[in-house]
Amino acid sequence: MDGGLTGAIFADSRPRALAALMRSFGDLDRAEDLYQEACLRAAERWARDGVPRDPTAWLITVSRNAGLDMVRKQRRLSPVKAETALELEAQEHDSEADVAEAIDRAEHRDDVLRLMFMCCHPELKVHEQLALALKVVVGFSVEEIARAFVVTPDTMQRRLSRAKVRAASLAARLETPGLAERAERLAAVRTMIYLLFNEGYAASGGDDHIRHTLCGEAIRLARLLLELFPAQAELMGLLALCLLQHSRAPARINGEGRLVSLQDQDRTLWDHEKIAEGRMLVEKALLHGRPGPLQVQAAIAAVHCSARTADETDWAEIERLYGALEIFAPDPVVRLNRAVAVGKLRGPAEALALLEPLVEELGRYRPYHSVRAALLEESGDIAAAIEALEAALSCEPTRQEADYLTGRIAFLKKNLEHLSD
Amino acid sequence: MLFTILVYGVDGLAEHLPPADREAILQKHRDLQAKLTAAGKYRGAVQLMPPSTAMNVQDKGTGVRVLDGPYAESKEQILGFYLIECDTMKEALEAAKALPQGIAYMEVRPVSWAGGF
Repeated sequence: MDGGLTGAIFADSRPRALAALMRSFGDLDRAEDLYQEACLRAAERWARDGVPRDPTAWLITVSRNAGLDMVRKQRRLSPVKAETALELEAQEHDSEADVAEAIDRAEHRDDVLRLMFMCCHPELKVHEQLALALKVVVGFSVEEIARAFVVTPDTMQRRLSRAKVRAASLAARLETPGLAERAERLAAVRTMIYLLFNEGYAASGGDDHIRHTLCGEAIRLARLLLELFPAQAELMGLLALCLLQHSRAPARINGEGRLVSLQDQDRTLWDHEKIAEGRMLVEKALLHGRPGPLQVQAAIAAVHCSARTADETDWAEIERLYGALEIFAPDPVVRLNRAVAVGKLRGPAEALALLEPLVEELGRYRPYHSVRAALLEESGDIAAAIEALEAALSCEPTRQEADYLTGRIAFLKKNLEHLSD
Repeated sequence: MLFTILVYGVDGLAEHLPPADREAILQKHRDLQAKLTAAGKYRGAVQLMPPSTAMNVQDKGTGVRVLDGPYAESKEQILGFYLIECDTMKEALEAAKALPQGIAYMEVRPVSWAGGF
C-alpha cells in the first residue's frame, strides 16, 4: 500500500469528515481525535484489504461509530439528554453506503460550510481564525502553524485552545442556515480563505516553504467550497484570484532570493496551467452577471497574466476594472492601484496628482511610497524619488523588500551623481 | 481499431501527494505516451481542467440553457482520457495497466466513430 496515496486521501477527506463529525458530536477536539483514530485504523486496514471504493465514507463511518461507542460508555456513567441519545441511536445503523449517499446530500455542504464558518468567529482575531482553520479544516500540526505565524509551538497551542473554546460557543448556536444566512456565511468564509492566501502571498515573515503551502491550502479550500456551491460567482472569483496570483510565484523571487517586480518578472516562469484555469473561472463567473469585488480583482489579475510582456499589458482595461472595483470597495489602496494604471496610460504627472490626496490615509503604507517613487523617477525628479524610497523603507518592509528598496536607492543615487558630473 | 482510456479519480487528490510521488505519476504517463508513439498507436491524450470550470448546455424543451456544473453525483470525476489505436481489447487493457494505479481508475472503452483529426 502506498503511504503517499493514503496520506493524500486523509488530507482530502478531512474537511468533509470533520464537518460530519461536528454535526454528530458538536465537539471540535473530539471530532479531531476521532478522525485521527480512524486514519490510523485505515492505514492498517487498507494496507491489507486495499482502499475502499469511497474512502471518505469509510473514514466517516469508522470515526462516527467510534464516537458513538464513547458516548455509550459515558452514558453508562452519566445520564445524557434523552433526545441526543435517540438521535445518536438513529445514526448508529448508518452503513458506509448510507454515509456515502449523505455526503452528496445538500445538508452535507452546509456542514462543511458550518465548519469553516466556525473558524471565522468574529470575536477571533484574523490570525486566530487562520490558525484555527489550518488546524481543524486543513489538518496542519501545531508545529506547522507555529512556523507559519512565526511563534513558538507552545504559544500557538495556547492560542488554538482559546480559539477553540470561543469557536465552540458559536458552533452550538449554528443551525442549518436559511438562504440569507448561507450567503453571509459564504461571504465570511470567502474572506477568511482570501486572508489565508494573502498570509502566504504577502511573505511578511516566516519561511518561504510554509508560506507557499499556505497559498496552496487556501486554493484547496476555495476549490472545495466551489465544488459544494458550484453556482456562486464570487467563489469562482476567489478561486480565480488565488490561482492567478499564485501562478506568478515562481517568478516573484529570483535566484538570489530577491523580490522581482511584476514589470521585471520572467513571464515564461509563470504557471500557465493555473493562469488558464483562472481565466476560465473569471469568464465563467462574469457570465453570471453578478459581479463582486473578488471577481473584479480576479479579472484584473487575468489581464496582467494575459500579457506576454509587461509592455503588452492592457492598462486601459485595468484602469476600467479598478474604476469598477472602487464601486464595490471605495478604498484608498484601490485608488492607488488605479493611479498606477493611469500613470501607464497617460504619464506620471496625472498619476502623481491622483496620489496627492491619498497621503493622509496611505502615509504609512509602503506600496504608496514605492509607487510614488517609480512615478517621480519616470518624471525625472530623481531626488524626490529617492526621498519616496526612503519613506517606503521606513514603513516596516520585509527583508526582501528592504533589500529591493536599498538597491533602488543606491542605483538612483549613482544616477544622480552621474547627472551632476 | 480506436479505443479510449477514460481516467477517473478524485479531482485534486494528486495535489496532496509528496512532489516525488507526483513526479512518478507524470513519468508513467510520459512513458506510456512515448511507447505508444514509437508503436504508431498514439492518437492523443487530454487532461481536463477541474470540474469547477465546466458548464452544461441543455434544452429540456424550453430553449437552450447554460448552467453551472457539473453537480457531481460522486466525488470521482473524469480527469482526462487517451485515444489509442489497438487491435484488441487485450492490447488496450495492457496500455491502461501501464498508467499509474491507485490515484485513479481507468475505463477502457472502444470508439464507435471518431473524426476531425
